[in-house]
Amino acid sequence: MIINQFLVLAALLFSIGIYGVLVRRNAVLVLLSIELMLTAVNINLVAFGSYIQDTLRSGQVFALFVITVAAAEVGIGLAIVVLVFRNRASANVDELDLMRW
Amino acid sequence: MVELTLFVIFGLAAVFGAVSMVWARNPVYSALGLMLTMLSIAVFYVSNGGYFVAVVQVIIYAGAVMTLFLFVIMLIGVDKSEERTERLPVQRPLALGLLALFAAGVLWAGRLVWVTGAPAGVVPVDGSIEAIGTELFRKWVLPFEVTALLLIIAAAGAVALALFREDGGDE
Amino acid sequence: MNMNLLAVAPEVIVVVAVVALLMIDVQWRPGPVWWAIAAAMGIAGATAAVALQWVDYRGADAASFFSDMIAIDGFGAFAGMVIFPLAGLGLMAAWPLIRSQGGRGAEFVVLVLIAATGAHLMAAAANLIMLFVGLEVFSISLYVLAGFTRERVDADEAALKYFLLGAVASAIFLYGIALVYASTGTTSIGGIATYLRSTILLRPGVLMAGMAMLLVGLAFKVSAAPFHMWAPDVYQGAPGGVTGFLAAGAKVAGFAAMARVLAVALGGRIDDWAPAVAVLAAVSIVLGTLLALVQSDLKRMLAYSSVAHAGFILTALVAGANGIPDMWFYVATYAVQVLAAFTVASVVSGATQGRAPLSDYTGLASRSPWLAGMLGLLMLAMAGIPLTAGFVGKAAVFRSAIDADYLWLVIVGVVSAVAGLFFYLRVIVLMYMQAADEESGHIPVPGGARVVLVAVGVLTVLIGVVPWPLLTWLRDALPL
Repeated sequence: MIINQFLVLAALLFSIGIYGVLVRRNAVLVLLSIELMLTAVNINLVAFGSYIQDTLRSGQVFALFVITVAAAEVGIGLAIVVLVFRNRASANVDELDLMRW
Repeated sequence: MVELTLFVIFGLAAVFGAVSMVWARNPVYSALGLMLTMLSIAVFYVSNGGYFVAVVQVIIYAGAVMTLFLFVIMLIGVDKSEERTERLPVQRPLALGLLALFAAGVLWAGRLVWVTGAPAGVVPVDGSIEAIGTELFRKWVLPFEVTALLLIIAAAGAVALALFREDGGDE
Repeated sequence: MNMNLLAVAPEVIVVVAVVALLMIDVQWRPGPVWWAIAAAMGIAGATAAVALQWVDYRGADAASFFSDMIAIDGFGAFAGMVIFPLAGLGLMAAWPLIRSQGGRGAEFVVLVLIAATGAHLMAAAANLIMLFVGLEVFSISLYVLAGFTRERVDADEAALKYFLLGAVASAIFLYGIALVYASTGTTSIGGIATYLRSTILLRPGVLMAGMAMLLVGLAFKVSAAPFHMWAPDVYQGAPGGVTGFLAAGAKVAGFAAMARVLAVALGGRIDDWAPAVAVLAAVSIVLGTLLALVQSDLKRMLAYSSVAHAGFILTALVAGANGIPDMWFYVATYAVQVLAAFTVASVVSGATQGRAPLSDYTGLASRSPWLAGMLGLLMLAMAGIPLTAGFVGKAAVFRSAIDADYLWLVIVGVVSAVAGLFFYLRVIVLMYMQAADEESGHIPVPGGARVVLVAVGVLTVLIGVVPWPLLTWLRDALPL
C-alpha cells in the first residue's frame, strides 16, 4: 500500500474545506469547513507517521493534539457565533460589514 | 487488496460527506455530511495503525464536537437556508480555479518520491493505547500539559462570552 | 528526559497565579483589587524567571529540556522579558475596561495572562508541535479578548472575523508542519535544521510546499500583507482598552515564532524562503503605508501602520539568523509604542469603544496637552524620526537587509518611510494646529494609562538617544 492515496485524499478534503470557507455564508458552516481542513491535516499526519516509521509516534500524537486544539477552538468559535447571533439575530458572515476600509 | 478496496469505499464516502457539507442548503445536512467524513477518516487511521487516534476521532469529533455543532445549529435556527446569490461575483469561480490549481499541484507532487531514503510502502506503526500512552507521557508530556491551559481558556473564554450572570454588576 | 524546572518556571508561575485568581474569585468575590494583586504577582514572578533564564543560559549555554520540547536560550528569554511586562502594561492600560465589565473582569485578566504564556511558549518552543500548541493558546485567548465587550456589535464582528481568519491561518500553518514533518521525518526544530544541513533533498517539492504554507500561516498572525485583511477590522472593532495588547502581543509572538521556524528550523534553505519574505516585506510596507494615508479613524490608521511595520520587521528577517538581533530591537520597541498609542486612543475615545474617529483628536493639545504630547512623541517614533527608538530600529533592519544584499528592499522601505511621515504628521497637525470643538472639555487620564504612557515615553526616548546598550545586549538574544 503506497502513501500517495492518503495524501491526495487529504489535499482534496483540505481544498474542499477552503472552498467551503470561501463560499458559505453561515458562520457555523464556515466553522464546519475549518474543522474539515484540520481533519485533512490529521490524515496527513497519521499517514506520514507510519510512512516514516516514527518510533516517537510524532504523527499520531500530533493528531491527538490537533483534535484537542480543534475541540477548544470549536468551543470558543461557537460561543462567538452565538454572541453575534444574539446581537444581530443572524450568523451570516456577509452581513459583517460594519467596518470597511 | 482488501486495504485498497476499503480505501476506495471510505475515500469516496469521505469525499461525498465533505462535498455534501459544502453544498447542502440545510445546515443540519452539512453537519451530518461532516460526520460521515469523520467516521470514514477513522477507518484510514486504523489502516495506518492509529487505533487510539481512530477511537478519539470517533468519540470526540464525530461524537462530542458534532453534537455541539448540531446544538448550535438548532439554537440559531435551521429554517434559514442560505440564498445562493454571491455579492462578490468573482469569488466563486476564483475559489474553484484555485482549488483546481491546488489539486493539480498535489497530484503532480504525489507522483514524486516524498522522503529521501525512506521505505516506499506503508507498514502501520503500533498505535495502540499502550504505545501512544508511553510516548505521550514521556516525550510529549510538556505539550500535553499545555493543552490543559488550552482547555482552561476554552472554558474561561466561553464563560466570559456566553454566560450572562445575574450578580456582579453585569450589564 | 532532562527536566529543568527553570525552563517552565514562567509558565508554572503564571498558571499558579491564574488558578489562584479564579479559585479565590469564585469563592469570596474579592473584586478587582485581588485580580490586580494576583496578576501582578504572576507577571512579576514570570518576568523574574525569564530574567534568570537570560542570565544563566544566553549565548553559548543555551539548552533544551523536556525531551527537546522547550529551549532556554537568549531568544526565548528575551521574548519573555518583552512579553510578560507587555502583558502587565496591557492590563494597566485596560484597567478601566476591566472595571466596567463587572465580575467578568476576572476572566479578562486570566485571558491576558494565559495569552502571554502562550506567546512565551511559542518563542521558547524547540518542537513544532509545542510551537503549534503555544500558538493556539495565544490565539484563542486573543479571539475572546477582541470580543470581550459583548454588547457592541462591532466588537462581536471583530471577534468573529479574527476567529474565522485566524483559524483558517492555523489550519494552513498546521498543513505546513505536516508537510515539513513528511519531508524531514521529525518535528523537532533542531532536528529539522540538522536534517536539512546534512541531507541534499533531490526533490524538495514537498518541503517547499510546507515552507510556503508555514510562511502564509505566520504572515497571517503578524498581519503582513497580503494576509493583513483582518487587522484593520479587528483593531478598529475591538474594545479600546485591549487593542494595544492585541496588536503588540501578536507582533512579538508572531515574529518570535517566525524567526524560530524560518531562521532556525529552515535556516539551511534560506535561499528558498528569503526572496518570498522580501516580497512579503515590500508589499506590506507599500500597502500598509498607502492605505494608512486614507484612513479617518485613528485605530484603523494604526492598524494599517502596523501592517507597514510588519513589513519593516520582515526586512530584518531576510538576513536569516544574522538579522535576529535587529528584528528583536524593532519588535520590542515597536510593541511598546503601539501599545501606548492604542492606550491614548482608549483614553480619548473610550476604553470600551471600538471606533476612534480622527475628529476626536482635533485640538487635543488644548484639551489635554499631556496626552497630545505623548501621542505626538509616539507618532514621531513610529515614523522613524531621529532621537527616537523608531529611527534606530529602522536603521538596524535596513542594515541587516543591506548585509544580505537586498538593496531594492531597503530603497522601497526608505521611500515608504518618508511617505509614511505624512499620515503620522497629520495626526500631530490635527492635535496642535486646529481648534477643538466648543463642548469638548478636559480629558481625565486614568492612573494605569498614565504609568503606561510615562514608561513607554521614557523608554522610547532613552533607547532612541542611547541605543548601544540594548543593541549589544541583543547579540545574545539568539536562538539555540
